[in-house]
Amino acid sequence: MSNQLHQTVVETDVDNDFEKQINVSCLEYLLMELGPLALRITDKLEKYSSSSTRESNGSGNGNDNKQVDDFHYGGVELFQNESLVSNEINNQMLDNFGFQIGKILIEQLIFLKNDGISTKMDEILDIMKIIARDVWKMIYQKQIDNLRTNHRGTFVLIDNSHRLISSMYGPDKHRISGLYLNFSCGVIKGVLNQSAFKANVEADLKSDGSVHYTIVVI
Amino acid sequence: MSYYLAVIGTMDNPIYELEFGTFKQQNNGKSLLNQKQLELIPFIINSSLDLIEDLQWKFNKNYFKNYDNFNNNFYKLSCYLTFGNMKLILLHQLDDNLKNDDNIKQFLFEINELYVKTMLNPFYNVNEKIKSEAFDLKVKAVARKYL
Repeated sequence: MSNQLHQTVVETDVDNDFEKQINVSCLEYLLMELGPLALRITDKLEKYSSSSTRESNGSGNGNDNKQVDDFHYGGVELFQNESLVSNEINNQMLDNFGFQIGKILIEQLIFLKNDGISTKMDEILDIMKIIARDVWKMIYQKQIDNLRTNHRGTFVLIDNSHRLISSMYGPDKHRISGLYLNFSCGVIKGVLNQSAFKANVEADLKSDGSVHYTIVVI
Repeated sequence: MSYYLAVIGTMDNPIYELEFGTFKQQNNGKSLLNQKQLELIPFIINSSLDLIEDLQWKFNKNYFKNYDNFNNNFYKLSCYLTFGNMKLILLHQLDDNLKNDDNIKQFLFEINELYVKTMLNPFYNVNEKIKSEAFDLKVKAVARKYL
């Protein structure tokens, strides 16, 4: 079934482009949804822990159902809750999402790049190049604009327009963008971890809208 | 002629194991390993991990053929390292008549492909045991094709 579908799509370039655009948009929406998802989980965890301490031997079951009903799936009103957005738990969670994705993504990419043969890579600069070119292209449909290094284990990746953040406007931009930057940092960490490197990654949103990732290899 | 495939994770934890025989020369794929050997094989494979860790940083390659042996060279071990340092180890007999060197290499390459595809599953985490029946069937199909 899927094979047939694939064949019909390849027939014309127009169809191919159209499918690609749909895929790209879907991926972008899913990535955007990561932020609210992490917030909702953190919110639920906090409510759950506070309610369980308050009524430790009360009717826990009925309370649970009520909390599930409180959720508005697809809503973004949680972004207004400042203490929740800056909560350490959900930053860690987004970092972890990225970490898991990065770990798997690099293995796929190396596999695809070399026609099914996994090669070995010892040079960290090679891995940085793969992050800048292939990993970023796969997640954000664009490459990193600038890669700088001091050749002593510090790398700076500069992304002039982050795909998710560049479309954000308003006074909350700086606060909310932190969620998505955590995810990007996690991806970089995951890729490096799978290539046997450990690194501290920090992201910084500059006033001109560019994002600087500073990677210090330990 | 018998084979034994083990996938070893990054923490030296076993992830997948399969014992099978050859399908070449009118064989039916039954392994001829006896109980005593089967008990010994996990030890052989785990003790050979030290050798791999030496070799992997010495040479810039990720396929090591016949890097270890046991039972007086009767059984040999070949290993393929994936990018994420998963070790695909195959225990096999070296038979000059069969010329199965290339087949073993090709077999491990295909197992690598199956493993990469397994990783695409969002419910699978790195270093988790592979319990998927589909993976098992595909490995057996690849074994039938090459070995």
